Amino acid sequence: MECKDCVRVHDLLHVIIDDEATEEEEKFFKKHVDKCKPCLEKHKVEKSLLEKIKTKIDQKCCPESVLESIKNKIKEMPS
Amino acid sequence: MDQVPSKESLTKEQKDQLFTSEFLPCADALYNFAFRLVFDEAAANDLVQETFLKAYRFIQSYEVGTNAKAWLFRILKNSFINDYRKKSKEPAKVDYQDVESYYNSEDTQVEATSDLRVESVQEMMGDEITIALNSLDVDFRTIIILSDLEGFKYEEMAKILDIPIGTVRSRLHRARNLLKEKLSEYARKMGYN
Repeated sequence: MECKDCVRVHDLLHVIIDDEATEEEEKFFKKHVDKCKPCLEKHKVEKSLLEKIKTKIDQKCCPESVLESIKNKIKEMPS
Repeated sequence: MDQVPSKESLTKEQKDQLFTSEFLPCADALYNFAFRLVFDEAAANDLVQETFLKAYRFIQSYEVGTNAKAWLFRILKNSFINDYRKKSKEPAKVDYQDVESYYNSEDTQVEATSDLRVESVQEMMGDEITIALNSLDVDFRTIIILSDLEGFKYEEMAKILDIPIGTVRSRLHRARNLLKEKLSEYARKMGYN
């Protein structure tokens, strides 16, 4: 059962998890998900997905050889 | 910041010191970003090296104490667009500004309906998320990397990408919805949903 408020909440899902919502948006959001289960579920999906991306995607490291080469080139750069 | 000398008077020694203390610590994040843009170690190495050399050359225009990481990411992104994308023989791509304005226009309240459930997300190990992320077009992939992996705020991303904050917001929204669509396809195949 989707209403106008649900549509607005869908638009806010990302600014909420990114902590970029205005105070008014946040109030509106909280009030709505308190009584709307489907929207709360959507919020939880976004939150858990963000958490997964943050923790499960492996981060590559800059190879030592590249760092060395950069440092050497910088040394030779004129002032 | 009263100890900071005026920029023109930076000696070679001061430049090197600034480079080492503020720029080099960002090497891993820059490499990770580069690799996820080009998917090739040698190309990522070149891109990171080019970024650092440019940063050094333009060190005068860097304001000490400001966000060095965002400044470097912007240089890397521009280098990628300038040389890497030009060289690559990728077929012409969709104009994302068009896609964005389509999804932003008031009368097309298109909400991508993904049936992804919390339980399905929690089942995922990471590989499928990496694959789904890598399969997104570069502009969508980029915004997710900047926001979710690197933790940049909307305002910082607007500066790195040279786009308005409203576009950051809508592009991220669209990118995450695309990612969810891919993941729910995957979840359906695996029988999670």
